[in-house]
This record gives sequence, structure tokens and C-alpha cells, in this order.
Amino acid sequence: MIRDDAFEQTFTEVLEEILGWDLELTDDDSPKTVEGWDSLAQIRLVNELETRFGVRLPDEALLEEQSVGSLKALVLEHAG
Amino acid sequence: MRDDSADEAGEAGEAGEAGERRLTFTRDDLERFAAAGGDRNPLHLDAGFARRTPFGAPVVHGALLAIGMLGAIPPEQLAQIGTVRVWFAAPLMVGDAASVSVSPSRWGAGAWEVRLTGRGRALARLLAAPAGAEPAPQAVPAAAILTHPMRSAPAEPEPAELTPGATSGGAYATRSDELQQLAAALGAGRLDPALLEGLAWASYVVGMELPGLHSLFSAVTLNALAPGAAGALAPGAAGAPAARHVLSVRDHDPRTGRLLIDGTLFDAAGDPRASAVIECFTRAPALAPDPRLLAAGAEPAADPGAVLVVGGSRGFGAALSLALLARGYTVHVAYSGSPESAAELTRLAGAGSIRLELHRLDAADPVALTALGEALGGAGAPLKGLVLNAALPPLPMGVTANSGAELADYVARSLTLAAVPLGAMLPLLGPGSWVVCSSSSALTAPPRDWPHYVSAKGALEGLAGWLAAAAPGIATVILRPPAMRTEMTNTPTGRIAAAPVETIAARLADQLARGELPAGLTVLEPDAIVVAGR
Repeated sequence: MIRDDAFEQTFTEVLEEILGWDLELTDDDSPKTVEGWDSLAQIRLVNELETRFGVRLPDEALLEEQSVGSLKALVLEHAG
Repeated sequence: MRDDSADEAGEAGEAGEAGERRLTFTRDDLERFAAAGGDRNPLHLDAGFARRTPFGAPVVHGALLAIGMLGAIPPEQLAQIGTVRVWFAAPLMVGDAASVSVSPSRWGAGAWEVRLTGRGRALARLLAAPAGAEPAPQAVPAAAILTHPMRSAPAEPEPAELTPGATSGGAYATRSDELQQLAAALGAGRLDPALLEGLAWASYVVGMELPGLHSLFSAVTLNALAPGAAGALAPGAAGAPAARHVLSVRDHDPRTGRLLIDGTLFDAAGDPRASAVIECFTRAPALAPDPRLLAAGAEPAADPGAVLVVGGSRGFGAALSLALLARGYTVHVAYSGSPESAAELTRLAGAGSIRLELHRLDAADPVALTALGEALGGAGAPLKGLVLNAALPPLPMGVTANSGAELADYVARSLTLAAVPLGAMLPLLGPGSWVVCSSSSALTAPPRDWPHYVSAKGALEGLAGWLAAAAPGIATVILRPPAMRTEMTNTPTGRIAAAPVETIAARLADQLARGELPAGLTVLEPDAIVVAGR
């Protein structure tokens, strides 16, 4: 899997679905900068990314604070 | 229930107005909602059950919060709503007040966003839109309906019932008049009856069916459906009341316990009434400590005696109590809540229970602790050890001007649970005694939602530092364990990396029994020992 327009669009759709559609997030955004990005939202993000991209993300995706960029990197790393 | 804008519910009026109100719910309100909608999960109604969860006390039904939040929408606009999406971020406790703010939403024309805040943070977020804002989800086929009646006690489903594709269902009906009265009292009298029933139904599904007894309701997307036309959205038509429902598990993540359930509510004629995608979490209760692990390799203490564990009937306190028993100590356990947990501790202690004494008291009560101290002192021997392990459940909290007092109150109440027992037992402690203060690794890696918990542990460590200076002959131990598998960490993400209580408890008990911890202050962290200030 490569980080192309299709990847970015799917990723953005997931972020909008879970965190809200009016946020215009960048790779640097994280729970520290996004209101409502709490642990439950993190679980939803991980599950939805796994479903949409057909990947299984490691537990660190659930446990450690992630940014938009680090989540993208995890998806790319673990995609087939 | 108390809605501080109830008088204004009919006056919020014009489309586009935003406003704020406050909501509070009593135990009676929860009983009424449970009777009207069928969700009798003890997390909402049984203080003893709730005490043994991470929340510590009964929690207001999420669906009831949602009805209260919908009541903030101007009535004429509320009547047009056909779709509701709500996410529950943190619980509202019985008797606590929360603020509701409502504003038009960019989700679509006629859409509204409602936010519920309390304890300085967001508790819930709700989006409501007229019919057609979202495509109607596929109704689960009526042919799959099973015939079991509505439950009066929560289910405890087998794992197979939680696997994707598993279907279930049965009878479901509300006491619609009572539900309507509740809604009206919350300003939501104009809400489509199908949505009102649907919210009660979603609550029932999670709390009574899937996953039932040990559950957490976290989100729902709910659509009102027109009678006689599967999949069509037509709010406002009263239709026939609900009579049956069908559920299908869409997804289950065993790492976190997250369940996604598709459901459809039908009337007696089999016409769909409402459809929902329900998100919830299974909460398998934390297991009791394993006495075999705690006793494995245990050597008798060089100098056993009587010890007091304050907060020792569950979780880490119970594990440490059992570990100390296994090393020959006489263990007095002070506990405040659950006689069931205390009885379980006696059972787990087995033969060691002859050296186990249980004292049910409030650790913050100086009269009770003084009496206990006098009783222990009357035995003639000094107290060998004291474990200060009583703690308050940390509900998620934020730091704002309005939550500052609540945060400080939590710190004060928490410190009281340590200071009162310490004050009562100090006359019984002397050179050769030890005092363990249960702090947490959270102090060095503060979780975002626990500013109060971190502050409370900081205060406890301050008290420990004072003790080490004031009584240098005592071994004062600050224990900063990592998150352990107890009810306090039994949350969706808390359970993933939690360590077994037995590992930490057995190691500490060995160190105490061998006399390895010196007089003065010692800080024990998961894989390191820092000795400070002899």
C-alpha cells in the first residue's frame, strides 16, 4: 500500500466519521489538539481504519497516544 | 430529574437559537426509566454492583441523557428530527449536574448538535437531523426474530453470541405513557415516539441483552422508520408501538471488548419502527486474585506480626492481603463497601483465614479507626505493618475553572482515606514497622483524564515523605505500581496492558517479609528501587 490520493481520501473519511467533518486535520494533529479525541474515539479510529484498510494494527495503536501522521504510518507499515 | 431550563423548554423557540441548560438525575428517575424502557442493568440501579465497577457508583442511563439532551432542541425543530447519533464519552453519576449546550449543526439543514459537559470535560455529544440526513440502514430481516420474552434480568451471553454474524432477538415493548412523561419532563415531549422508544430500546439491548450484565453503552445511530414501508424515514407518524426486535452482531474486537450491533425494532404487525447501529463494550469483571500465585515460593516472614491493610477486600489490596497471609502475617483488612468481596477474600484465604480479620468501616471515619486502633493495640504487640490502599474511583475529569473545586474535593477525600488510618495507627507503629502507601505509576506518566487521581497520589506521597521524616525508624514505602488488572482499570483501553496484581503483590510481600526495605523512605517502581532519605 502506498500513500496516494486514494489512501489520503479514505483516511480523511475515517477521521471525519469519528472525529467530525469540520476539523481539517493535519498529520500533526493528535488528542492534544483535537477536542473529542479521547480513548473511545481512539478505539473507534483504530477499528474503522482496520476495517477500511484491511489491516490489523498493533496494540500500541490503542495504548499509546497517536497523531494523525503516526496512525497513517502504522497503517502503511502493517498493510499488505 | 432536574432540568434548570424546563420552564423555557417551550420558549427556546426560533430555529437557529442556541442555549444552555443543566441536567441532574435522581435514583428515582433511573428507576422510572428502567421501568418504562426495560433496562434494569444493576450498573444503574444497584449501588453495591456499581461499587465493584470502575465507576464506583450508579451511572445514569446513556439513553436518558440523550433524551435530556434532545430536550434542549427547540420543540418545533425537535418534532422534525428523524435521525439521532449520540456518543457517550464519560458517565454522569446520579445526583451530579451536567451542562447541556445546543447549537445548529453543519451536518445538514435543520440539524442540531448538543453537547453535555460535566467534571470539566465532555460527557456526551449528540447530532440530530431531520429524516433523510443519513441513508436508512438495512433493516435486519424479520424472519430472524426469535421468540424469547423481554428480560427482567440482564443476560450474560456466551462468547459465540458475540461473534460477528450472530443474531438474536425477541419481544420488546416500552411503557410508552411513562416514557412519554419522562421525555416531556425533560423538554423532549415533541420527540418522534419511534425515536423515544428507540433510545429506550438501545439502552435495553446493551444493558439487558448484548452484552447484558457487564456492558458499557458508548454510542448509537438511530433512525425512525415509517410503518408499513421498510427503510423509509418518516418522523412524526406515531405508528404502532414496538413489540419485537432483531439484533445482529456486526463486529467484535476482543482486545477492547467493542461490539457493533445492527438492530431493528418492529411493531406487532412486523413493520419496522426504528433501526439502529449500537456501539457498546463488554466489561468482563476483573478476576479475583489467585492465592496459588500469591503463595508460590513464599517464605515465612522473619518477623511476622499483625498488619492492617486499609482497602484490602478487592483488587491489589486483596492480593497483597493474601500474599501477606501466605507469609505468616496476621492480616487485618479494613474495607468499606462490598460484603461479597470480603466473603470472597475469606474463601480465597483458605487455611490462612484463621489469621484474617475483616473490619467493615469507612476509612475516613476517625471514630471507627480510633476504635480499631485501640482494639489492635489491646492485643499488646505493636503493629508490624500498615498498608494505605483505600482509594476513590477516578471518573474521567478535565481541568477547568468550574471543575477546580471538584478536583480539589477528590484530592481531599482521597487523602483523608490515608491520613485518618495513619493517624489512628501511628501510636502502634515503631522501629521495625513498615507503612506502604499505594501510589501509582500514573504520577510519572499522568493520564490526560485523571488530573484528580494524579494530584491525590501526589498528596499521598507528600504524606509519606512527612512520615519518613517524622518517624525515621519506620520503613515508609511509596509503591508506584503500573496499571494492574483490577476493576479500576477494567475499561476499554485500561485492560489491554494491565499487569497481574499477583506479580506486584507477591514481590512486595517478599520484600517486606525478608526485611529488605530499610527504615526511611523507599520508592518502589515497577522495575527499579529508589532509596531516599534514611
